[in-house]
Amino acid sequence: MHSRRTALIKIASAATSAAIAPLLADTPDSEHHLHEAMEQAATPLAAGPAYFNQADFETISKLADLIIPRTDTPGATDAGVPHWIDFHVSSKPELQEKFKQGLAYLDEQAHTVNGPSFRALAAEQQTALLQALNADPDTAQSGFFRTIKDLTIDGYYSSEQGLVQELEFKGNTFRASFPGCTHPEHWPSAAVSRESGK
Amino acid sequence: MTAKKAVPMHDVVIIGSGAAGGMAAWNLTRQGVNVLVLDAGERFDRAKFWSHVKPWQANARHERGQYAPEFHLSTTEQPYRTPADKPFDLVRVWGRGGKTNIWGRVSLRYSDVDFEGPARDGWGVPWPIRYKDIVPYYDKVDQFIGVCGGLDDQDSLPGSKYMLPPPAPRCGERLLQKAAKQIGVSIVSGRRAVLTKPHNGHAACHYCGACGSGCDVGAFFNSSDYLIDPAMQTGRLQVIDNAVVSRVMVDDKGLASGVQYCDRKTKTERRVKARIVIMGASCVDSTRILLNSKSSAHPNGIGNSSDAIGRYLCEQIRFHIYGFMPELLGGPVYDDSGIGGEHIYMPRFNHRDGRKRDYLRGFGMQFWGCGAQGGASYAKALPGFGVDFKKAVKQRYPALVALHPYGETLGRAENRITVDDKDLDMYGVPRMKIEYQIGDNEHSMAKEMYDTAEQILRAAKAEILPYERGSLDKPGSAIHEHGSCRMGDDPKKSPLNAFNQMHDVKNLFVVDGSAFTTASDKNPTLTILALAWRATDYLADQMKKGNV
Repeated sequence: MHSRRTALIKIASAATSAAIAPLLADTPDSEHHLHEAMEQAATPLAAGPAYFNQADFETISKLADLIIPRTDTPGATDAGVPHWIDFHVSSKPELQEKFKQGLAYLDEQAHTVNGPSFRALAAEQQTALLQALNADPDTAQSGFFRTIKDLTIDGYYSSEQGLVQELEFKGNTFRASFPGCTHPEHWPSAAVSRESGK
Repeated sequence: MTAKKAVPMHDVVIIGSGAAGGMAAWNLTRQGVNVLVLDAGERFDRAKFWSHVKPWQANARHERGQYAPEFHLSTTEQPYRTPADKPFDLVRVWGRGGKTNIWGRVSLRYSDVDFEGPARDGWGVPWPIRYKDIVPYYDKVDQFIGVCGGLDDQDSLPGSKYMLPPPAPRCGERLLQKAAKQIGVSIVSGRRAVLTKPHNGHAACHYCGACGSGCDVGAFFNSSDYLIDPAMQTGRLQVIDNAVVSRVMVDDKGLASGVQYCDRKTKTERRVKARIVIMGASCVDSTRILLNSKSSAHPNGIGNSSDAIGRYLCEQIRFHIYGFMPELLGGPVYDDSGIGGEHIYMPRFNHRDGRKRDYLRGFGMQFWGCGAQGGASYAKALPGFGVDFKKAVKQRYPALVALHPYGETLGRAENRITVDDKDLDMYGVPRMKIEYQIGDNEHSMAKEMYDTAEQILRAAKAEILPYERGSLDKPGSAIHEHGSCRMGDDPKKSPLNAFNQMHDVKNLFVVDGSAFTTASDKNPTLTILALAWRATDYLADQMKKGNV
């Protein structure tokens, strides 16, 4: 079994997924199951924003990191969330309008405290602005905060940094067996399997 | 060559290759009958499934313009209409195996609590069968496709000795069982068509939990691998792909004589002749075809002298509540993938002695999504932002539990599918309109569904994620359409008899969810398989006797 597995990995690393497909189709049994073969040859993605201009991209990066900051695990920017948001918004006109208005509002608020822009404010001032939006959920501006928070959550917790490093996700893995809960203190007192309805 | 091609003649033509059509094709071919299956799509290539593409890999692929195989039929290609105030989400999979490629795999037998519902309370028409009529077929289906489950039957949830071992419940599921027991409700092991051991030549589940992307090893029942492939091996099955059926044709005696279809690729119209026609195109699509099969013998659709075809459409009501189990907060994170979806099930209990209810029928509860998931969308319902927010998400990650009650919807004559001769699709075939809404009975039932879910979570001392009490999923969301061509003994009220055969048209059978007399609160696929097996045993016997 092991030699076959190794052989497949070698083929996988050199081939495209289209070439791998027939191999997988020939090995339907779980023993030979090989998800590494599904890995795609990684072509590098664009480094900068495709939709937002650089200034807006910096503001979005700042916002994402305020929502999910770096701690002893990666933060939103470490996980590529601004890039993910840029890609996501690029194909959604309704989100584009929301971002246009929301980002403009944040800069207007910055002007009221004599800042040139939101991204140029001190971290405490930025946090205070977001707290105001967070506290008053029924305004159009807080709707923008809601949107960028949801997008940050989706982007971060679907990234390898957010899902594996932060949350310790272990799923989507080949396993020969599934142990389930091994803590009798979590179980009902009498075995449920002996119950029957009347 | 100008000679017109002869229209090919077949013994049996089956429309659709999902659970219903697949079972009919398999059971007839193995008994020596030659069968043609018309499938509206093509085979899905499981080597291309994204079963093992992790969320971040999927993100990167999307940026490169790569997308997972599309199972769902686009409503741009096949639109349907609904009144503005009555939305209905219709999910269709056109292609080999239909919805069984991505189904939820929950495999619950109907009991006599279900079959006797209408006879007991007088709403609708009585089922023409009881549990004893179908149990040999449930037993055969369990053995053939492989259904895992426990020896923990209830009066409302019968089982069999043929089940494969049930997967062990996850921590959160055990705690739900414990909490439910405190309020006198039993949560048993789930019954699912997932192979916890290799079975009949099919691979065992490898607990990756990615079933919704399609299983790359075929470890759960899907009609394509489990039914159509073995039927093909008999040499008696022919499948025509991309055949979108528009009408059943009739002869001068008003019997079915064949089928007219359009090739989805070339958009050309074709016909096949057949001695027997079997509908298995799924509830709504079969109904549309029947209603579009108008002739002088059948002016309002073939076999529709009862005017019941298209009416009594019933789906199920459903909602979702999430909570966090205190014992699991901040605890170790396990791989909770298991067999994908729940390992437990709450059977209906509201009919039992000492229980009162001010509505008809009942509900059960499912629990998919307990434990560590491949995402954290619950975070959107948590307040705030920053370091504390991040901690709150992390702490709750292993503790998530999810409750999804499903309730029966009554069949109502006004909940119906109609076709409009002036509103045509790309093939010139009348499109359908779905008019559907739930009523007081369902809203009353929903109250007890909410009460039960809340009581379980309170007994568990769980933190409950904010929810809007009383809200229900959009109709159609459970993807359990039933009833629009129902079985029944009275030909004035039901188009089909007890063997899924049309009262009016003896050589036309309907074996999908549209044949169900009631929707019950259970997932229909196992019962569709059992009824289709039973109907085609009957048909094979009738063919041998020369009765059809």
